[in-house]
Amino acid sequence: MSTRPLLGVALTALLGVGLGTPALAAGTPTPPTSTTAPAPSGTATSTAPAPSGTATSTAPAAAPTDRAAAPTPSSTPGATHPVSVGGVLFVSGVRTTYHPSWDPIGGTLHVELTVRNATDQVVDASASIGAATLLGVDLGNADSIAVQGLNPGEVRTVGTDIEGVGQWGPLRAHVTVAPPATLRGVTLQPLSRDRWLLVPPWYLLALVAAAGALWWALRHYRLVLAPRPVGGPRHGTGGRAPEVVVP
Amino acid sequence: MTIAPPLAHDDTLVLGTVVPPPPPAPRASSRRRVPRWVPRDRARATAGASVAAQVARLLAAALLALAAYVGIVSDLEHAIAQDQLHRTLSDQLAAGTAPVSEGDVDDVLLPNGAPVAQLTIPQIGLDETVVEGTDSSNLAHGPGHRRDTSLPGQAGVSVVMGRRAAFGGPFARLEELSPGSRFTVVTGQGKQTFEVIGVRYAGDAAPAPTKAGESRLILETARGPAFVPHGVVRVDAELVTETQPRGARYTTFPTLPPSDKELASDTSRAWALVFALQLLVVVAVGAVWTYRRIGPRQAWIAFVPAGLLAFLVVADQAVRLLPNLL
Repeated sequence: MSTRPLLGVALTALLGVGLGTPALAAGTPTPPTSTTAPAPSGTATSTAPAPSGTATSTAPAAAPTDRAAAPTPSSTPGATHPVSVGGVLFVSGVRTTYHPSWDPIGGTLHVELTVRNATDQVVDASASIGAATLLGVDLGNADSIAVQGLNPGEVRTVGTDIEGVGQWGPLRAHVTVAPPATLRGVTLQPLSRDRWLLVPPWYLLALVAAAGALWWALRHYRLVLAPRPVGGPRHGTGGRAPEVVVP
Repeated sequence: MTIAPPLAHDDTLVLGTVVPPPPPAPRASSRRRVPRWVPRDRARATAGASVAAQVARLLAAALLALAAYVGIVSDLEHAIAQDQLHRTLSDQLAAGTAPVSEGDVDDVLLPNGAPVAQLTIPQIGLDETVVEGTDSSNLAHGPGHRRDTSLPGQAGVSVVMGRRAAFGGPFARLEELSPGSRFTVVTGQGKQTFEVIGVRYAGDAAPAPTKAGESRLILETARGPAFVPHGVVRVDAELVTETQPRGARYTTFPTLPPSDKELASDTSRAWALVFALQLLVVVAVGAVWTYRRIGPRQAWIAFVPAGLLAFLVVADQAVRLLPNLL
C-alpha cells in the first residue's frame, strides 16, 4: 500500500500540532497584571532596555532545599501571620506577551513577574529581565530594575518591554530577582524564573513555502512542456514508437 | 511484394503490410527490478537504500502520527473524561457521598481515577475535576491528587499534579499565578478557598511547614518548554477558610508507587503496548494482502478505520510511558 496518503495525513496532523503548540507553549495572551493587596508603589515598569548584564547576588545559598513535596503535617511552631512563612520574597512565574511586527527582526516582548514581600520589614530589591533564543543568543536585557520600598505583605508587579525581538521560534524569557544580600543576619540568594514561548517565524515559513511551490511548478511544467525528440515515443504509449504502415 | 527491411528492436517498419512485432523478451524475475547492466554490489546497495527509505518513511509517519495524537487527540480524550468526571462528582456532591478520605462512602478504597474535587482557578481559566492518583494514566483524565496527602482543605499538606501540555494541558498557565491570588476547591467537605503564596522551583526556599490545624495545597506541573519538561514547578497556596478534619489515608509516602511521583512514567502496562503493536502488525499485513489480492478500493475502505483504531490503541499505550506531567 502506498504510504503517500498516510504521509499526507501525518503532515496535516503535524501542521495542526504546529498551529496548536503556540497556544500551549506560549500562553502569551495574559491579562494585564494588577497589583493586589497593599500596593503603595504600583507597577515598576521599565521600557528602555538597559545594556546587557545580569544582576547577581553574591550571597551564598542558605535556604532550605525543596522538601515540601512530601507531606509535612507537622506542628512546627510558628507565627500565624501570613508574612511569617519561610522565605523573604515570594514571586510568581514569568508572564509574557508578544506584540508582533511587520519587521521580521522586530516585535516587542513584554515580560513581567510579581513579587511579594513576606517579611515584616521594608525590602529593597532589584530585578533583571531578559530574553534569549533557543541557542542562548541574547535578544535584550533590562538590568537592575529597582524594586524599592517593598512594604511588608506588599505585592508588586515588575515588568519591561524588550524591543527588537525577532521571529526566532522558541524564545526564553527570564527574570532574576535579587533581594538584599542579608536580612536580619541571614544571607539571601537571588530567585530566577523563566518561561518559554514560541514566536512563529512566519517569514521563514513563507519563504520555504514559496520555494517549495516554485520547485513543484518547475518540476511539473518541465515534464509537461519539455520538447520531445522527433520521432520519439509519445506520452502514454508505454515507451514504444507507433507502428508505421506504408501501403 | 513485401519488403521487410532488417529492422531491429521493437520498431517494425514494413512496406505494404504489417509484420507482427517479435515476441517480447522474457521479463526478468519480479524480484529483480534492477537493470542487468548495474553491477551486483551496486544493485545490492540500491535495494538496501530503497528498504532504508521505506523504513524511514514509516518511522517518520509513525512519529508524526504519535505527535498528532499527543497534540490533538489527547485533548479530546481529556475533554471527554472531564465531562464524565464532572457529572459523577456533581452527583456525589448532591447525594452527599463525595469522598472525604481515601475510601468511599462504603469504606472501600478509592480506585485510581475516581473524582475527588473540583478545582477552579479563574485567573488562568482552569476548571477541572481532580481525580485520585497521579500516574500517567490518571493525569490523562485531569489533575490528580497524590494519594498519600490530605484532600484539599483538610489539615496538612495536599499535593495536586497536572499536565503541562498533553491531554489538554490543564496546568499550562500555572506559573502565571501571582502571590495573593485566590482560587477555590470544592470537595465533599464544602468549598475551600486558597491564597497563592508563590511559585517555586527546585532548590528554592520552601514555605515553613504547616502547623497543626493548618492546610496547604501544592500544585505541581512540568517546567520548561511544552512537551520538553526539564523540571518541576510548584505553586504553594494556603487555606484561608476553615480547615476541615483530615480523612483516613492508607497510602503513605514510602508506599506510594514510583509511577505516582513527579515526572514518572508508567511501565506497568508495557505488556498492553506489546499486544497493541501486534494488533497493528496484523492490521498492516491484512491491508497489504487485501490490496494485492482483492483490490485497492476494498483495502482502503476496510483497513483505514481498522488501522486508525489499531494506531489509537498503540498511541494510547505508548503515551503512558512518557512523563506524567508532560
